[in-house]
Amino acid sequence: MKKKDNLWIGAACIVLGVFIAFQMKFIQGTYLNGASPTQKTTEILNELSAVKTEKENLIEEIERLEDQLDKIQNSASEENAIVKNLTDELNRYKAFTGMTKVSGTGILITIDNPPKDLNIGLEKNIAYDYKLILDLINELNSAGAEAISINDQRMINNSEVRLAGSQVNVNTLPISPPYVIKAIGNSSTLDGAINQRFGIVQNIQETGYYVEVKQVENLEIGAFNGSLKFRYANTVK
Amino acid sequence: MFALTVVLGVLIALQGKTLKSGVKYLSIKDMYTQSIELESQKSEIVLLNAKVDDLKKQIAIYQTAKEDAEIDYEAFLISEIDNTKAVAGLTSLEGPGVVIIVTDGTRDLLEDESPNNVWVHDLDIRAMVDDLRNAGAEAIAINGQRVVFNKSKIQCTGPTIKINDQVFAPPYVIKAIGDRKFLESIINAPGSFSENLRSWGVFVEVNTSISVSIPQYDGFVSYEYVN
Repeated sequence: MKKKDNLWIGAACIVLGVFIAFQMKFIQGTYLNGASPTQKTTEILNELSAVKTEKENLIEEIERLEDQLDKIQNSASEENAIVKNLTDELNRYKAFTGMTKVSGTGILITIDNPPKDLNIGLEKNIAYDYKLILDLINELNSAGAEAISINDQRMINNSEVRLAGSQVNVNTLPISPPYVIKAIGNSSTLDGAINQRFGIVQNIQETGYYVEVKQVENLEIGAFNGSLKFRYANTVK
Repeated sequence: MFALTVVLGVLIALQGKTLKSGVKYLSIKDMYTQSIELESQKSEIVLLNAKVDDLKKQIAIYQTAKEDAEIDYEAFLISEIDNTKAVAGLTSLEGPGVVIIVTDGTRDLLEDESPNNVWVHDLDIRAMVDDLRNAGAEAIAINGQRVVFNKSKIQCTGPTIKINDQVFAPPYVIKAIGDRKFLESIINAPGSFSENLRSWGVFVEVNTSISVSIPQYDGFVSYEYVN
């Protein structure tokens, strides 16, 4: 082997080394926020399991609190017939507003971002196309949906679906994909209305997102969680 | 050669040590999906916490109303009914807001252009209602018909639009109660749906008003599929 060849190999190694270092640095800077891969992995996995236990605890607590509220209302109704009538009337109006849990036949729609391709820098985010979600909900309403929720947020009179940063807010709370939209109504009418040729589902698919529509025999839609107060509107007697 | 063997030995020892300490390996791609999952779980926790807070508040309200002798439980229930009715859209309302007029465009059509481009469609009205809701409208009515989510259907019926099962022809007058500045800007802002409509030649005008009155929803209320 000539001395000159050795020099070339040496130079190639240096260039390659610099490239590898750059690549590592880039990955560390963009995806790991400066941490090393192992550090970041442990961090994410630990946090994920902590968050999951917290979620389970919260769901348990919610069930307990709902029971407690029911008991208070029922015990008051038992004491007095007028109170019972009033409670029934209140519950009727609450159902109309969307403040009660409902169930029935309907459809379940899942919308998600296309699979991430790290080789392409551009990523599609359904949050920026939230108007498609609004269109979908309008179509469902028009096809006779009686109750609608997005990621368990019940849609009511004053519900908004709007872009906030890179997330969509519904009922002022952030929701992230996949978006699971539930609608109670005539399931074949609802399905047909959105799956029409050149309809909204096709529109969402052509924009590049994943959509799945399923007819479901028994669907449960939760109550609206917040409390509502008008700040501008006054009741006219 | 000797130096290389030493380096290799050190590396193997390090590797063994990290594996022992319970560190798991994920590819960068998996890590990315995991971090997205983490984000969505976290936002769900925010929602659940909000629900817990609300339930606690309600329990406290009902508890004090029931136990406190000075508070009349029946009167409390009646006031709750009134509040719920108002929120449901079953009462007439009055407040500051905007009045929007939308009507078919009057510009000349281009050669072979479809008149569809200058007509007002049900989709346009729905999108404007969405915009108004996003801007925090508390109550919305179109040509005197209260718009209630799930109950009001805004549908195309040929040259006319059906709202709450009544048929209307242009011009459409949309009234909304809420913050006047927000509501006005959602109609006039660049990027809003109305801006889009205007560019097609459809006439859209918005005026703010100190007092807009909006009628109650008086459709028939029944459920067929909801239990």
